[in-house]
This record gives sequence, C-alpha cells and structure tokens, in this order.
Amino acid sequence: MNSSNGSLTVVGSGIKFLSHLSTETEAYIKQSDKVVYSLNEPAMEAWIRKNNKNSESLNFLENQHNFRIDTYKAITNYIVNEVKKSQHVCAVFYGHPTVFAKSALDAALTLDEEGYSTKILPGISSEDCLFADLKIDPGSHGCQSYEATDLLIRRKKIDPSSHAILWQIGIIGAVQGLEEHNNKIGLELLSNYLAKFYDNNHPIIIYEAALYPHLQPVIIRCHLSELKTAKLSSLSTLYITPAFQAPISAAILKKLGITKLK
Amino acid sequence: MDAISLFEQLANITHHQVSDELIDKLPIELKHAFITSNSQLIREKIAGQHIFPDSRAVIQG
Repeated sequence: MNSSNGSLTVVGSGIKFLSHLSTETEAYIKQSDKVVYSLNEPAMEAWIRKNNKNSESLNFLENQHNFRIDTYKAITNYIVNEVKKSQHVCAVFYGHPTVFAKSALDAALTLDEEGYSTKILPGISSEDCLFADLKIDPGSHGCQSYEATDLLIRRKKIDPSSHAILWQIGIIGAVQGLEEHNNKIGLELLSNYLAKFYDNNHPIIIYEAALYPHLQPVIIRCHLSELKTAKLSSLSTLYITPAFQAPISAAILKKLGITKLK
Repeated sequence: MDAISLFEQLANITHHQVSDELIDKLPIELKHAFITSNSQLIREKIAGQHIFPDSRAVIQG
C-alpha cells in the first residue's frame, strides 16, 4: 500500500451551492494537502478557494481537447499525477462524484491498481434532487435511468411500467464542445424512439435542479408529443411517469409464500 | 456584502426565514434572477465570462 505516499479522496459537492455539502466532504476539502475541482457554478469554487489555499480548478483541461472523452482522460491523468506527488488529494466534483463522472472514478480505480489509498464519498446528485422535487419514490415502480444519447445509439429497451429518467436531453449526440451543438435532430430521434413505448399524450416532465439555496427547480409538465419542440438547456433532464403498474405473478407469490401484499 | 457571502448566508437559513430585506441586499440583476428562480442567470452573473460545465457523461464505445 502506497498510502503514506499520497492518497485520493473523491467527493461530491452536490448540486445546490453549499446546501448540499456534507460534513465529511467539508472536512476533506479543508484538511487535504491539495484540492482539485470540477464544479457547476462559481460560488462553490470561491468557497473552496477560501477554505483550502492549495486548490486548483480542473477546467483548464477543458479547452485542450476537441473531444470530451479526451478531456475526461486528461482529468483522470492529472488527478493521478497529483496523488503521485506524495500528497493527500481531495478531488471535488459537483453532484455525486461518480454519477456521470468517468474521470473521477477512473482516477480512483487507477490508483487502486497501483496500491494507493482511495476513498469516494457520496454527494447529492441531480437524480436525488429530482426525486425530492417531483415527490416520487423510485421504489414504487422501479426506475430506469439512461443518458439520452446512450439510450438512442444502443436502442435500450424502456419498460413503460417503471419511472424513466433520461439525462442530457439538451445535448443529444454532443461528443465535442457544447457551445455550438444543434440538438434538433437528436431531440426528434428521441421523441420518435419514445413513441415506440408511450402514447403521444403521455405526461412527461422537463426538469432542472436549482443551483442556489431557496430557488425553485425548473419543472415543465407537458406531453410526449411536445418534446420535439420543447425549449431545453444543457441542464435539462426528462422524467417520464410510469404508464401502468406491472401485473403481479400469482404463481411467484405462491412460491414465496406471500398471501397478502398490503 | 458580496453575492457569494449572501448566498452562503441563504444556505444557512430555512425558507421561512428568507426575507425581502435579505433579498434586497443582492445586486439588482441577481435580485431579479433570484425572484424568478433563474439558477442559470445567477451562475452567469457571478461567473462573468467563465463557463462552468453542465454535463460530463461520455458515450463509451
């Protein structure tokens, strides 16, 4: 174990400025030798810089590569190399640090293989915010969660009896920079694909979590037929309500010895 | 009080305690964004030219 020579703790700062920071995450940010971060808004950056003088944004790596996959690899390599300088490094990512955050997870896994001490602390993700703001329990019907582009290109099957959450519907097919991305084709493909599983008048919600305390989330209720023309941002997430409750198998109930469900 | 300090203060109170007096301390452009719950506008106003990432998922081959 190389723990005396450096370590990595990956933490999530949540979505909403300061409000979502856990006590243990705060301790690691304040006490680590070095903090590197990739955040979703500037107030959290200012807070980190105030609370750890040896902190550094990872955003400078964003502009060095044309493809996002290369940026993520560069972030992973940068974090790994910082740990190898024999220091205890805290890597802060917004939301939950390993939900849609390949670079943080890869850094921890790479260092694990090399015998360094690593730890990942959970953070509040956009999905957690969505469950709270929309007042839904993913356990009630089961829940599917897909990145929108991944859903389309892999032709994933959606179970309409479960909750469905589709991420990054505002940047479908964007593998390079997001600034000039045209989402029209992707959104049309997504709408057509979802129509294979749901009626056109099925209710949907376009959602964005609030980034600052006491602000309201964006919650736009509409129908699937309206998705093609919906005004979206790069933060937009699509939530689709279950279309029906899946039937219960009496045979399985009997085998389990269950005589009453409620 | 600067905007970040004020949001730090807002993070430490409940929604019942948010007062007009507190919101009035925000710069006018942030005050409007706060009242209309426009998170992205607040972020833009605080960040200036600096762009923050909104996404990070990668399609893996």
